[in-house]
Amino acid sequence: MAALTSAVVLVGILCVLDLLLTIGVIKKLREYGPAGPARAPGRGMTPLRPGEELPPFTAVSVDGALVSRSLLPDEALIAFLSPNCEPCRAKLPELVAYAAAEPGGRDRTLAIVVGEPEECERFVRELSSVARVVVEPRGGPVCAALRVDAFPATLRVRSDRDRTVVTGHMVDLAREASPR
Amino acid sequence: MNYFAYGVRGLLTAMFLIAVAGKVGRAGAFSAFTDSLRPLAAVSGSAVRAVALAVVAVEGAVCLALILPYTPATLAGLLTATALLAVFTVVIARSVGRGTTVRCRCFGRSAAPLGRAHVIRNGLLASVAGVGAAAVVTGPAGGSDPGMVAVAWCTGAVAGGLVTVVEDLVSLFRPVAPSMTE
Repeated sequence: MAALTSAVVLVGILCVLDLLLTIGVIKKLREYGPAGPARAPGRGMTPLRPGEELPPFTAVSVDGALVSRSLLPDEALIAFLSPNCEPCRAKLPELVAYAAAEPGGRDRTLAIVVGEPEECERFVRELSSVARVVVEPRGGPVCAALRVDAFPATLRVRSDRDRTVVTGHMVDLAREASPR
Repeated sequence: MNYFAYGVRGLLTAMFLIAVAGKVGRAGAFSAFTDSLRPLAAVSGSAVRAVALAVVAVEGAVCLALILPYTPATLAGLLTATALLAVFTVVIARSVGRGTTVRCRCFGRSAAPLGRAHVIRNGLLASVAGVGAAAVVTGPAGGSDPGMVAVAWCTGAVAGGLVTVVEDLVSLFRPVAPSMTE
């Protein structure tokens, strides 16, 4: 009887272990698998090119301020980063230094940090002293509106006579991204 | 105390334990949970943090009450769990009705926005907790064979663990994005 009990307990422990492993695999699968139609291969968005008008967008920054196209100052820089991408992590100090050197203070730079809030903590901490920071999940509204699906990405915009036009991709950040 | 009540205790203990661990276990998880409450709760900025703290504290207290081998504590734990889950159900149902898309942070990280599934899940859990409480109060005779108690408890705990990953399990049986299968 004792042997039978021990055997059943052993099998039970094994089953629970298996269940845990399976759940771990499912979670990994969801992390790497397609998160929706936007991320399916061959369906990438065409990034905005210099000369195109910036599409309208609105967001709320981490310090609670409203951010939108109409509120962007002239010559603003919009940077998109994700804590999950190696080049972004490498570029972060560079971006912080660049934004700190921008004339016109932290309003001049808008950083869109893409990921889960807890992953983004470090990025937000380092960027918020030099830029307006918006955190949004993967495939979030700002990235969708501004057609960004690869990181790091940057946009330099010029506002003149109620038009906001993209004037370029910043070279020093764009160098890391593969040319498309 | 009958075996069903032991099972319910196991289920709720495991579930709330994972819920608390998911909200405070990782750096930044708690503030993320707080932020996820902002669109849900009808309270202002500073109060949201207090609500988030209260939720985690009550979940922890329920765990503790259900582990203790003391019938009044068990009953209090089950009733609190019922009330808490009922509140969750109502709040999420309201948010779904208003059409807000908040990500579920019930167990820490999750990719799914709060939806009907969460309302149904919490509604079912609340009823299970309620039935468990009723079983403790009316006290239908149950055995107290320690082996059976352990089996009932473990069965409940495994079920509670599965409840916390129900989104992942459901996603397995959903078709992949249409563009992949075209």
